[in-house]
Parts: sequence; C-alpha cells; structure tokens
Amino acid sequence: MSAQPAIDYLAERHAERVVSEPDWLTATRKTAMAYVAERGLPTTRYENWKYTNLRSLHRKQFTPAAAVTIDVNDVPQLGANGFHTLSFVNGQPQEIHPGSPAQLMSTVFERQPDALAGRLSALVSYESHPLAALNTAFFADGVVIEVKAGQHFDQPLLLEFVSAPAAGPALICPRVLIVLEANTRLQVIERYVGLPDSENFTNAVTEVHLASGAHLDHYRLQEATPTDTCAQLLAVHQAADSRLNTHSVDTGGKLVRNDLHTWLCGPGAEAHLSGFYMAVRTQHVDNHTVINHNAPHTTSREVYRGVLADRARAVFNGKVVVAKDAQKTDARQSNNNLILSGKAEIDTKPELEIFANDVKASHGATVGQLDDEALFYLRTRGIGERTARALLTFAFADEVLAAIEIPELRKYVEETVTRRLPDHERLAKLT
Amino acid sequence: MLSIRNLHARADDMEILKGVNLEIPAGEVHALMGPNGSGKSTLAQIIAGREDFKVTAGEVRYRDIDLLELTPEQRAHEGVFLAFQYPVEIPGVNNVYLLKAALNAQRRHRGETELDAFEFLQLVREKMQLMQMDESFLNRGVNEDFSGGEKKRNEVLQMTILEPTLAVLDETDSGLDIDALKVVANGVNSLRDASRSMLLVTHYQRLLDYIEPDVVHVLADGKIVRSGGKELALELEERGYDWLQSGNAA
Repeated sequence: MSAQPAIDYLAERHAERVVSEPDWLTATRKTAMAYVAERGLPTTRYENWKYTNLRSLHRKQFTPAAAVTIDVNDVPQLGANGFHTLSFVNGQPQEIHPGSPAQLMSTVFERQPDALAGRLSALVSYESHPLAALNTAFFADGVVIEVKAGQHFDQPLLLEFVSAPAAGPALICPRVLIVLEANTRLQVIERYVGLPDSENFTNAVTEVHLASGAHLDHYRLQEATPTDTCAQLLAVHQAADSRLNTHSVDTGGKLVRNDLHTWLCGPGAEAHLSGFYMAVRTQHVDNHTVINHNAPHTTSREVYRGVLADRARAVFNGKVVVAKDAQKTDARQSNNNLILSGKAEIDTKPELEIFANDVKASHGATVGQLDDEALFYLRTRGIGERTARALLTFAFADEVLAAIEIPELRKYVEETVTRRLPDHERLAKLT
Repeated sequence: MLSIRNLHARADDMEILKGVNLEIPAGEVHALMGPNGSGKSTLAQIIAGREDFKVTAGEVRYRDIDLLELTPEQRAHEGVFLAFQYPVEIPGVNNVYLLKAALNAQRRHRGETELDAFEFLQLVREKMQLMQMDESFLNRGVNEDFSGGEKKRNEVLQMTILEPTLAVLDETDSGLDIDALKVVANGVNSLRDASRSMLLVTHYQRLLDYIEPDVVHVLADGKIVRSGGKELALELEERGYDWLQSGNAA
C-alpha cells in the first residue's frame, strides 16, 4: 500500500515549520522520506513485525506535532529535583537549564551546521528499523548530549517527552543523540508520559556512541496514556571496555514497540539490558532486542520480565548474534512472564546466531502463573488473598526493578507499578 | 480448644483421612506421630486451610468456630498458625515485609492499632535474639537460599511474633542438628501458656525431650489408633509402629 498521500501531507506540514537546517540533514531526510513513501509502515508480513500490527495507525490522519500549551502540573512529577531536566511537549522543547549536558539540536545546527554530519543516523538502518525512517524524515527538534573526556556530570539527565491532546492525532518524533567520549560516564532517563485523551503516535529514535571505557546508564520509562501509541529505537555502538546498562519500563500506552540494538565492537565491552513490562486490558507491548557481539571478550546480560493481565498481549524477541571472530563471548538472556489471566498472551522468542566456536551463550524463557504454594503460605500468615497476589506480583516485578540504581527513580517506578496492582492500598502502607 | 470429629478427607481419588477424632484443650501440647503416609501432614494442612484436600465428612472446630468454613487468612486471624514442613521460598518478598504485613493484618482484625516502625523492629529483634538469628536475615527474601535449619527457625520466629493460640508444627524438628533443635524448642516453649494449644507433628521422640507433650497420638492409615502420655513416644521409639497397626494390640 502506498503511503504517498499521507507522506506528502506530513512533508508539507513539516516544511512549513522547519526554517533552516544543514543541507546534509535535508538530504538525509529526503532519503528517509523516500523510504517511508515507498514502504509505508511495517506490516505483519515483516518477520520482525509478525506479532505487532500497526493497522490502527493507517486509519488516522497524523499531523506533525505542533506546539500546544499545557499546565506542567498536569504531568505527574517524577519527584526529581536532583536531575537535569529537559522537557518536550508534543515535540516542542521547553526551557533548557544551564549546566545541563544536553543541547537542542536546533542550537547545534545553528552554531556548527556540520557538527553532526555523518553522526546523526549513522546507526540507523531503515531495513531493520523502518519506523526510524519515519522519525528521521519528520523529527522537529532533538537533543544532543555530548560528554567530553574529563567532563563529569553527577546528576542524572532527565529527558521528558510529554504527549498532550492536540487538534487531531499528532506524530511526535523525539530524536536523541548521545556521545560519550573515552572513560566518561552518564545517567540518562528518557521518560515518555502522556496527558489524558491524547491519541498521538510517539516514534522516538535514540542513537548512542560509547567510546572506549565509557559507561552509560540508560533508563527508559514509558507511562503514556492508554490511548497513545509509542515506539522507540535505541541504537548503541560500543567501543572496547565500554559499558551499557539499560533499564526499560513499560506500564503505559495502547500499542508499544521498543527496539533496542547494540553493537559490541571492542574487547571488554559489556551490555546489561533489563526490562519490565506490565500490560492490562488490551494493551500491547512488544520488545525486540538485538545484541551483536562483534569483538572477542564481550559480555551481555539480558533480563526482561513481564506481567500480563486481562486481554493484554506482549512480545519479546531477543536476538544475540556472535560474530566469527568474537571468541570468548559470554551472553546470557532470560525472559520471564507472569500471566494473570487466561486471556492474556505472550509470544517470547530467543534467537541465538553463533558463528564463533568458543563462546558461552544461554537463554531461557518462562511463562507462568503465581505460585500456589507461595500464595497459600502468605495466606496462612493472615495476608488476604488479593493482597497476597499483589505482593507476589510486585515481588516478581521488583526482581528486575531492583536493578534501577537511581533511588528516586526506583521508588517512583515501584510506586507506579504498585498502583496498578489490585489491593495496592494495603501494599503501599508496607513499603 | 481444638476439636476434630470424624474427619474424612481425600486428595484426588485417594482417601487419606478416614475418621480422625482429636481434642486439644487450651493450654495443652499434643504430639502427633505415625508412619510415613499415615496422613499427619494432610491433617496439619487441612487445619491451616489448604484447599487441595477435599473434606468429605466430619468437622474441625476451634473455639466454637467452624474452621472449615474459613479461608486460610481468616483462620490465621482467629489465631491458627501452621509451621510448614517445607517452608516456601518467596524471592522478592523480604522477611521483614512479610512479618510486618502478617502482624498488622492480624492486629487490624483484632481491632488493635498497627505497630509503628520502632515498636515493630524492637519486637522482631527481641524474638530474633530468642531464636539466635542474625539481623541480616531480615532483608533477605522469605526463605530464599536459607538452609533447612534456617527455614525451620524462621517458621518458629514467625510464630513467636504472631503469637497464635493454635499452633500446628509440621515436622519442625526434621533436619535440625541438636543445637538448632534446642533453639527451636526454646522458641516453642516460650509460647506455652494456659490459653494456647499446640499440635506437634513429628517422627522422632527426640523433639519431645525438649518440648514435653501432654498427650501423644498415633495416626496410622488415616485414623488415630492410639493416644497416651509422653511415655507412648518412648515406646514407639523402641518398638516402631507395626505392633499398633497389626490388630490394635493392647
């Protein structure tokens, strides 16, 4: 199906807004637009999109996100005074605070038009990640985070992407580029949050370059409204001895698709991926991860857990590719799912492609219900059945959430998850 | 007091209890012994409210309440406690959380105010000292990676904190070395008083050296086949169970 009319419409609206940008970017956008125009949105005929159907998006006429005014107090606060914060509402940047490691892309384009040439979009393959083409074609402003060797940021950087109700469904394309020079360290939180009644499609792309010895803690917290669609690609290039820790938490959204792709390209590089998703009613959450071990002595650990209730559906696809020369690779992956309803569904699939002969690689996937023994044990201690169920569900989730190293964030996430459990009033008193 | 009359119960197609009669007056400790497979653990779990067994006849009353009508948590609120033979590991729920949730659930039921954090910790520390347990245990997952002995100690610790009026201990002595056995017995004995009834399920007379029972019962093939004083346990230790089962001698 041709997406041309929709693309033309988006392109016109987009052109009205972008005043000036470097020629290389205009060229990059054109390629991306051509890709989208030709291929449209991915369909379930794509192997990587077998279980996630974007058909509902076809029926909507999206406009590029325009400025809307909201009362910031309507956005639940993360309670983070100690964070550098940069907020976007429907793609429009709010005020940026001095001392932050973040800059707006528009500012960078103005001051050094070619600074990001060859960098932006370097990690994005449209064939593997078709939605990234849509983002590249239409992102408005974005964020550049550069930590130079020797620079130090103790406080986490919080990027907030707020989706607010607009005149019609809006296409919001957050774009982030993170570059950590050798031996630097940064904690970044990307938070996707929505205001009630929005019907937007947030389609984000974050690219990360980690030089040797660099260390990034990347948190992705998605708590969009149950009417929003959210997609994100996190693409990471890792040099020797770099370390990537990712924590992905999904509690919101109607239709959610996350792609995480990291390339371990130097000896000693490590990637630690952890994820938690909780889906209720008819929510659909899809996590696709790819870890490419391209160098010897690289390590990856991946733990994703999900809780599904009602008629919710989740997909986990974890691919690990060990290249021929990547000897002594050590890769472990697990995906555990707790199904609270007979009508919920999970499709979980590990994929190992190993071309080296001296590697350690393991994977495991489980799908189960709450442990009856544990439930009975708690009840004999006087804990009511609903509370006991909530407690065990929370305990299952918390084994992943406990990996969140920023205390305020961990508390916030634990509370967010707790609020979605039955009988949570009882639980909250106890934490 | 606990009063069990003509209790019949089955699991799947097998009848396990075939007419159990047992009375434990307030203030008394009774031991329940018997060969493997005689139904001891089934009886213990039915008292606590396990739903895997189907009671087909008879009744279990405690302080004039029909226990079989209550959920496990309601039974706990009425003062029933089961120390599990195989305590369950619950990763992610830490011990202190469980103790607090359990204690406060019962206090709420009794119309008492919940303990504040300070009072609660003080109580827990005192009982942990009694059970000779290290404080680091508080923030570990419930029974997670505990040794067999630690799990049993933890059961008795919970019991000393919850102060049940009817305690059923299912083979709490098995797998304990002699020092641990003394500690556990000490914890149990600290709860003995005129208002409390206890049922000790055990295979070994050894436990009864430290927790002296008022009455010893023998359960065989789903029925109590003999009851007597603590000397019955010594006799069983010497002669085994066969003489009781073969033709109800004596």
